[in-house]
Amino acid sequence: MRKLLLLILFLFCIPAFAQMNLTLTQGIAGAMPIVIDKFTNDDPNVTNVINNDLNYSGRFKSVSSNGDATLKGTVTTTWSGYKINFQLFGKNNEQLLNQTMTVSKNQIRQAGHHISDLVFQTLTGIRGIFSTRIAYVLVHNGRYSLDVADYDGYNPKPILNSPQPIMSPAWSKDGRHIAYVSFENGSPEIFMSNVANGSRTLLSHFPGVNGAPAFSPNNNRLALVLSKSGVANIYLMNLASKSLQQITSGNAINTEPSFSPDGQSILFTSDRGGSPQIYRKVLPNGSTERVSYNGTYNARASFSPDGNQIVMLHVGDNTNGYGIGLQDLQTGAYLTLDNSGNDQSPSFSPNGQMVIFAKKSGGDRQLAIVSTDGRIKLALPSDVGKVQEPVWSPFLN
Amino acid sequence: MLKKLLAVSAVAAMLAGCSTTGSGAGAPVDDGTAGIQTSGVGNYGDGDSGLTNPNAMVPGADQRYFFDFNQSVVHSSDLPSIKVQAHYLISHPSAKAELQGNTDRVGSREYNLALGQRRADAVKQTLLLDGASKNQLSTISYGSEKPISDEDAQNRRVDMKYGSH
Repeated sequence: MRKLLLLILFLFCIPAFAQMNLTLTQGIAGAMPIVIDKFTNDDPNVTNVINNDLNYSGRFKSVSSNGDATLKGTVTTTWSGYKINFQLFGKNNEQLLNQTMTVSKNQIRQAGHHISDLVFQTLTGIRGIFSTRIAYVLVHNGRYSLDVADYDGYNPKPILNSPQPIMSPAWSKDGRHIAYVSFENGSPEIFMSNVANGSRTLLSHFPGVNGAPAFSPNNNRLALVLSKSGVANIYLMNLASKSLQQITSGNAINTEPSFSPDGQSILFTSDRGGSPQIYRKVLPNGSTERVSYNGTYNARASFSPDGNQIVMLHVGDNTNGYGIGLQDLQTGAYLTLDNSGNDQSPSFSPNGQMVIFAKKSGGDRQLAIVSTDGRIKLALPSDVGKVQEPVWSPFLN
Repeated sequence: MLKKLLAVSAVAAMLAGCSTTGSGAGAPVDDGTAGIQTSGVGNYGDGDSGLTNPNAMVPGADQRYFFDFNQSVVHSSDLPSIKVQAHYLISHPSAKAELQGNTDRVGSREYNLALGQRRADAVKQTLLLDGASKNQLSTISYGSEKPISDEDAQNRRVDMKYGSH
């Protein structure tokens, strides 16, 4: 009965969409000049998608001549869509890529992103993120929407729309599911939605806090936070059996678990030392060590895809409020990536080159992207509402 | 007919802020805080001029207790009010109250969710020490999701709401 009522409720409430437009706000001096010739017969304008991708990356600058590389292509209209041939040439006109792909009419942006990925990987040796997606929470007209969009903000689609807060989206490592916290039944509960078809499962609804879901690398387990036996502590849930194992204890807050890429350790936020700081628990031997020593407040940490760095929400001794910090786990070196004073929710791109986060901009919360060397900056403003809690998908292909 | 009735109830629920959709594992959400996203200003405490609590010593009246930044220690200045509310609960065994923990809007949302819970639990513990019984009290944390003010200090609060929770 309640479910039916909720369903009807959802039908009556119009889903919120945000149109977001990525813009490069700070590029680097050494960006590689690349000539991107408009593809022949390019009515669907796939060239524009590629041009934007490569410029957004900050590592390339499109020029009309004298580039270090040249991309050319031809679009042929077929009965079902398009055939796209593209060729990439190096500085001495040597051919680096020559491929043909067939796509349907509504796959033009995907085709462009795919070509951008190949060009980016060929010229930099690093896998491109142009075919990845982001999830985030849009707050608009008093409603909350958990949306999934392409990395550049295109094709936003809601997977949940609710009159009550939605928090903490987390991608499964295969990109098929998103776990999140929803207050739709009054208190914070953890759900998991199938991204493709929207079907969902209620995973956790104990009394008190149910929060901070994070998938293990093999997607067998979910780390989560429960306050059912007092203060918030971290548990591991076996997703098949739903059995729980408590992995932190004590009277301090322990929250925001995040698995290392090898699944052997977990980063988390704890105020056991007075202020929130980042700790790491090694699962096989149970040992715990403090990881963050720089600053008065460090939270929401996660590992880079190679496990060598962590990104976190950071308040320094001399910084202006909440910023985004990057720490090298080997050397301990620390770098401030952004310091708007009201930053939140940093999340690595799956190639480890960029970090997406939410920042306060002109009174509203918007998304921004920064490279892990701090030199490339992008803004992803929304035309409506507040956009918060971005999380970057894993590689999806 | 049933469908029509449901649709009407759904619209009514929407107009009411789509707030009371169920009880779940925790306590039902309170009507008074559910509508705040549209305006950013709650309909509770409209008369508040500062961090004071005009009904502090009124037994059985809803309360708001403030906290320091990142802290979940009950202010000693709130202890007399909590004692009054505990005595009200002792003398009204069927009375119930929900303690709703909240934080300011900055920092980590999940840390704030845990902090709001710890604040609600701190008020609950104080009420229990003053003699209220466990089955009269429930807690919930909204973390930083339900701010009532642009002033961070106003948002670091536990709302004590009487009702049939």
